[in-house]
Amino acid sequence: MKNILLLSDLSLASLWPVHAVVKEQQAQPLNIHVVHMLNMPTSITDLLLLKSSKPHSAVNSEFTEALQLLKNKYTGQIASIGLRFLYGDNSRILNNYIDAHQIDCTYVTAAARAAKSLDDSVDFMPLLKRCSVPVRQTPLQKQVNLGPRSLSVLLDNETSFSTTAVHRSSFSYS
Amino acid sequence: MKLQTKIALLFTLVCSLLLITVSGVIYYVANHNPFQDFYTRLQLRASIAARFYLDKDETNNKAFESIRNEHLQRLPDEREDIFRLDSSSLLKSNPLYKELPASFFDELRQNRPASYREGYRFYRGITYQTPTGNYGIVLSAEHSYARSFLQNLRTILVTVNVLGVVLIFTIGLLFSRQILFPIRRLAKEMNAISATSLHKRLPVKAAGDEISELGNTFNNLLGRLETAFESQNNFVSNASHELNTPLTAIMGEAEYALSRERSPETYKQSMEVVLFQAERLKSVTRSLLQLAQSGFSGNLSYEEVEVEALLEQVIAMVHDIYPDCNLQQNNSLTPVQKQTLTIRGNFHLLELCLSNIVMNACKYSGGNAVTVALAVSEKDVLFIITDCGIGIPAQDLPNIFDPFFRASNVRSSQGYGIGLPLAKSITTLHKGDLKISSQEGKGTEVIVRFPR
Repeated sequence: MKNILLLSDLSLASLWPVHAVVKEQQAQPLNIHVVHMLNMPTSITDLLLLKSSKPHSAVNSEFTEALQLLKNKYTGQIASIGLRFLYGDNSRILNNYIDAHQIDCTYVTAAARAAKSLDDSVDFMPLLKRCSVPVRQTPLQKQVNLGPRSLSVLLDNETSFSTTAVHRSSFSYS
Repeated sequence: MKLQTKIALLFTLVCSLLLITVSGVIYYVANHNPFQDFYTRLQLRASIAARFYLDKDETNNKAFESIRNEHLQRLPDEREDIFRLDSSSLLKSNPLYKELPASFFDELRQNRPASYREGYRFYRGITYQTPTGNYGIVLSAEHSYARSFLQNLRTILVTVNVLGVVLIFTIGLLFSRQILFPIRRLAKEMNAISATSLHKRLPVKAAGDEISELGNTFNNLLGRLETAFESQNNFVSNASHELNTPLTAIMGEAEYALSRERSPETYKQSMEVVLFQAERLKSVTRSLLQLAQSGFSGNLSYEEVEVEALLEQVIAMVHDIYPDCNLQQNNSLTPVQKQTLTIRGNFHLLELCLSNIVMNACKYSGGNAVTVALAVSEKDVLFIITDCGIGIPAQDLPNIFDPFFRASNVRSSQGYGIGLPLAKSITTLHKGDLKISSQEGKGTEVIVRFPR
C-alpha cells in the first residue's frame, strides 16, 4: 500500500499523471490523494462559515467524472482516489499533510498552470521546492488541446491496434 | 374565484381570528377582575352595620349611626342581612340561604370573610361575636360602575372588531393586488407574443425575485421555441434543396438526351449520370427515413447490448467504408473487465449512431489519426471519439445538430448533414448525451454517453 499525492489545478489535464503513477509505482494498491490548495480566508465571517463542502461544489462535473473514469480504469491498482482541499499557501502546510497521510511520493504535471481555477486557488509550483518527499513532474502528453473540458487529454498513447490490425467481421451495410 | 380575492380572504381570515381572540381575552380578563376594592367597601359597611346593630353600647351606636348617615353614601340596591350563625335552623329559614351557595356560609362558620358575586350583584359576609352569640352580617349591593364599564368595553370591542374586519379585508385586497400586479403585467406581455413574433422577450428586472425568475423561465422557453422554429424552417428549406439538386440534374440530363437523336454512347453516359443522381436521391431519402424512425420510440426492441461487441462492429463497419482511415482504439481509460459492460438499447440504432460519428471523424480527419476510446464512470459508459482534422468553426457549433446543416468549412466534401442530428436523436432516445468540443483547424472531440 502506497500513498501518493497528486497536486491538481482542477483541470482535466492535471489528472494525467495518474497513468504514470500506476505504471511507475510497484507497491500496489495505491491511495491517490488529489489535492488542490486554497488560500485560507482572511475575514472572520468567512472563517466562521468555512465549510469543507463549499469548494467541492465549485468543481466542474467533468473533473469529478474524470476521477470516476480513472478509478474504474484502474480498479485493481488504485484502492482509493479522491479530491481534497488543503487550506494554506506555504510548504509547511504541504509537508504537514504529507507527514500526516504518510505520502510516499508527489506527482504533478509539468503543464499545471498558475492560473486560478477557483477564486482563492494557490499556485503550488513554488512550494514543491521544499517538499519533503520526491516530486515527479510528468510531462503532458502531446495531445491537441480542444479546450479545458475535453476528456481526450486523459488518453494515453497506449493503443491496442491500428487499422491494419482490424480483423474483418462479417456484416453488411444496408 | 380569483387568486386576488383568495389571498385577500385568507389574509382577512387570519387577521380577524387574531383580532377576535385578542378582544376575547381582553373582555374575559376584564370581566373576571376580582373587583377587590368593591369587596373592601362592602366589608367596611358590614363591620359598621354590625357594630350599629349588635353592639349594646348606646354612645357607640349613636356615633356609628352618624358616620353611616354622614359619610357613607348609599350604594345602589344596598341590602344588609344579619343572622345567627350558630343555629342552623334559623339560618336555613333566612331567604339569603337560598340566594347564596353553601360554601359561602362554610367560610363564615370558619370565621373568615366570604365573598360571592352573581352578575353585577356583589356579596360580602363577615362574622361578629357578641356575648349572645355568633352573628353573620352579609352586605350586598349592585356594582353599577362594573356594569357600565363592561357594557362600554363590549360595545367598543364589537365595534372595533367589525370595523377591523372590514379594514383588514380592504387592506388585503390592495395588498394582493399589489402582489399579483407583476403576474398580470407578465400575462399581458405574454399575450403580445405570437408565433410570428417569437424574437420578442419579456422585460425582466434584475431583482432576482420569483417573478423575474418566472420571466427568465419564459424567456428561456421562448428561446428554445425560437430555435426549434428556426431549425424547422431550415430543415424544410435544406431538405427541399437537397432533394431538388439531384432531381434537377436528372431532369436536365434527360432533357438533354431527349432533345435530339444521339449516339448510344451518349445515351449510356446520360443514363449513368441519371443513375448516379438517383442513387444520391435514394441515400438522402434513406437517411431521412432513419432520422424519422430514430425520432420516436414506439416499437423499438430494447436489449442488453455488449459494449465491446458494439465497438468492434462499428470499427469494422467504418473500416469497410473508409479503408484509408487511420483508426485507433485507445484503451487507456477502458476498464479491464470491459467484456461484462452492457448498455440497454437497440443494437442497430446504437451502431448507426456511433458509426456516423466515427465516419464523420474519418471523413474530416485529413489522414490524421482518429482515436476511439471507451471509458466508464459511475453511471455512464462513455465513447470518446477524437480526430485531429479540420474541426468545426465556433460560429457553426450551435447549429451542428440541425438536419441538413453543414459547417461552413466542409463545402468541398460530399454529405447531406444528416449524420449528427441522427446520432443526437439516437442518444436522446437512449437517455444518453452527445457533447462536441472542437477548435477549427485543430480537431474535434465527441463524447457520447449512455447510461449503464
